[in-house]
Amino acid sequence: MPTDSGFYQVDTWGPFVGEGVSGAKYCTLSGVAKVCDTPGDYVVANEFICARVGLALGLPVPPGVIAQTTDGKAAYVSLRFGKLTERPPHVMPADLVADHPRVAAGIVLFDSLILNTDRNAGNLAYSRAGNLPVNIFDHSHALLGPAKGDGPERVQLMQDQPGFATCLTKHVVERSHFEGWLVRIEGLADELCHDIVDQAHAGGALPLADDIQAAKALLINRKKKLRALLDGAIAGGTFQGIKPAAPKGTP
Amino acid sequence: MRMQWLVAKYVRDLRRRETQNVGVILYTEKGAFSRFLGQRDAKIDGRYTRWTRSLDTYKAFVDLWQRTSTTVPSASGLLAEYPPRSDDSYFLEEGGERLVSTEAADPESVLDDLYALLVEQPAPETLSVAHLAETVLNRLSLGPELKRKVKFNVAGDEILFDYRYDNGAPNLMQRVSLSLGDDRSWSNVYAASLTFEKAESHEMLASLGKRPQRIALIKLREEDENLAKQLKMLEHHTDLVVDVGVESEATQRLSSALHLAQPDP
Repeated sequence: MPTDSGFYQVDTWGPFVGEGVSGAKYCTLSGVAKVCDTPGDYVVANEFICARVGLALGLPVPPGVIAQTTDGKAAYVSLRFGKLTERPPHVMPADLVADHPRVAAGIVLFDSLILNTDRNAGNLAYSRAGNLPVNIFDHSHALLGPAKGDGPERVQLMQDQPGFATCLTKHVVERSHFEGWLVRIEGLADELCHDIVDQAHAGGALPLADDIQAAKALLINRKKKLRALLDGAIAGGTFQGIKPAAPKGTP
Repeated sequence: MRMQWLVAKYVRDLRRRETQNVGVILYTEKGAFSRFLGQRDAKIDGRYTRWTRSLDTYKAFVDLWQRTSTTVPSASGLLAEYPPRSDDSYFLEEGGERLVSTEAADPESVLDDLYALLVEQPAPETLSVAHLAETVLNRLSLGPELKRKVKFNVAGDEILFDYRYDNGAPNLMQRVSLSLGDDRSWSNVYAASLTFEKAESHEMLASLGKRPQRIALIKLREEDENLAKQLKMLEHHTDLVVDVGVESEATQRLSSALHLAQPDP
């Protein structure tokens, strides 16, 4: 069974910090950075907010931070994953769902929550043969979308859309695998959603008030609607592997 | 027959960008065939892959490419499915294309040649039954009497043997690849059994003059639940089954069966 052990690997070890008794040492790890090329680009905010929400839910998103480039631009730097930093191959979605059905269900719900319409075999990592654990990444076009300035409109247009069209969806076969994730998502505190978006703003990744408001509203509204959206999608046959429940009163 | 191949490449250090060829995927009308460095009986053996940084990552790429190549119908399709990414340590690249006559088109032999040319001179355990059979028959020095790709017409059907060698009586030999532990080995066994069965027909015996000796040339894979059954079926339909994977023993056994003077050890 793959574990996270060794998925992030230290590049260089430095000297002991020299304070306290826990033997802390300096070290460096590789990262992958995405930069806001022009003020108001959503790429850094989208990555940061989605990763924080994913981590808060317990999903295997590479941890990351907002950093500043030398010329003062905001960048999102996530830890580079992969054994000895070698990038894993595309995923085989059927393998991932078969081996980790509950995690797969969580990813499908998460993508719907953050309006990620581009979950494909290239932004998931997992290999049965290579013993590589599950990782999900690349959320730069989710949430407020790819087009600068169009975030509030995108949120308005899409906030009632089901958003379950991922490469994993057709392989999911159990409704029950969603339940724990629904509880976690519904349990996300509104205050936490506010804080995460505000941190993106404080890092220089989301300067405009309309965009901040749209991102907060999206997370808070969709977490409340997700159960109904899921049930609707199952009833509508979006999940080919899940049999829709019989209507109440049917023998 | 049109054959196209892709070359699998490895970049150990993404800053230096020096590439090493680590495998070949060959597409033919008979399906996709592939071979990768360190592969023994369809598994990657870590003892032969010390050049990798992460063996697990290598295994993951090989597994993905090999499994997908059985469902994606063309080399260009596979390349489109997995285009090289700038930070990939492993990636596929277009290799080339060859047009060969149907009779000469033994995918495993072509794969052997490409692998030897592009990747490495293979160790005996990675060679196909076609390559190994040729080596054994060459050791026997059968000369021009050994005929390759011999066709017969039996009741309207054309049947083909890989080799015919007459020495008092005809000897018909068929290579049967058992190297894969999946349905393909069963298909090979069924096809060979049918061919050997037809060699017993009256029409065939009349054309040969004498009852032929029927010989299956195989290469054993690691034992699994099907291998013994496949061997039993072959033994039932032949006079002799020879494992050409063990060159010296195969040479001795074939030499006896073909009534030859014993070759030099």
